Amino acid sequence: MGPKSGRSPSRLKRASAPVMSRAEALFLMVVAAVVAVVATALAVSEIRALLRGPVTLDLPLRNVAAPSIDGVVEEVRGARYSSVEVAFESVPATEGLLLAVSAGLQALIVVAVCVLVWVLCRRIAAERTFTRGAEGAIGVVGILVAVAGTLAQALGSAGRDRLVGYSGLFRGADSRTVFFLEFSPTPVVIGLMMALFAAIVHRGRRLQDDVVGLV
Amino acid sequence: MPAESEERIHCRLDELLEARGMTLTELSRRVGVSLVNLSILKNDRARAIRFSTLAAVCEALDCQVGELLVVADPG
Repeated sequence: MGPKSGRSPSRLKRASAPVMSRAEALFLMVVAAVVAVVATALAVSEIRALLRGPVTLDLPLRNVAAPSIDGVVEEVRGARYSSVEVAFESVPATEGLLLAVSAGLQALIVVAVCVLVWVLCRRIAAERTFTRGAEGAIGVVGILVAVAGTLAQALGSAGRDRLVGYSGLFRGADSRTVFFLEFSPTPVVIGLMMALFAAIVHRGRRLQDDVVGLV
Repeated sequence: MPAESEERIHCRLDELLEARGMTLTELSRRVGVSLVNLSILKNDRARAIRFSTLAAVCEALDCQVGELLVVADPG
């Protein structure tokens, strides 16, 4: 009666397996939760030590009259000390606060990323991957990573540089903040990548809307 | 496509299956489309249909597209 189409059975197999199973999503959610809890605990411990002491810190050394280590080995043209580990009984309030806020911001980034992983895994498990909420959450976490990551570096650098001057142990030590010398663009790059990811999710949401009800 | 136009398309899958003494599960096995998707189609909840699905269902039920999908009278 009807025209016979030359259908290919392989093209009609649509009941494909999900990209991520519920068990895999649950596993990632548990890992994210554990990482977030551990990061928070470590940050609280570090902040407490910075505000109350005692604490051991790596401080940068610039223009310090340090023992020469030239010529120890024939192949070495020159070498210099760039940092020193200092054990403080207590850190001065301002410097301690700068370093504590820096540590807090770094922990905040880790926790925010873990929360995002948790939320996205829940949505994948519920087969509602591309939603307006996921798109917004990725964008917000991206901005947080870029801004908080850069701020954490700046505050940490300022705190350590000021401590070098405060300690008075190192003659000629440069305690000025030279953040730009140590600036790492990694948080900004990650933030940009997450903004791109949010744009992809936005596109995915529109495609998802197009195929809802398609059989 | 406007929502009203989608709602006016009626799928006669139920009647065609009954006439041929075939179950939805059997049709799903023959055409390789999931039972969930065929159920959506049968209950007029589909918003779009692939040509490949249409061709496969028509072939399995030995019918024309016009026998499977009809435009329902408004109201």
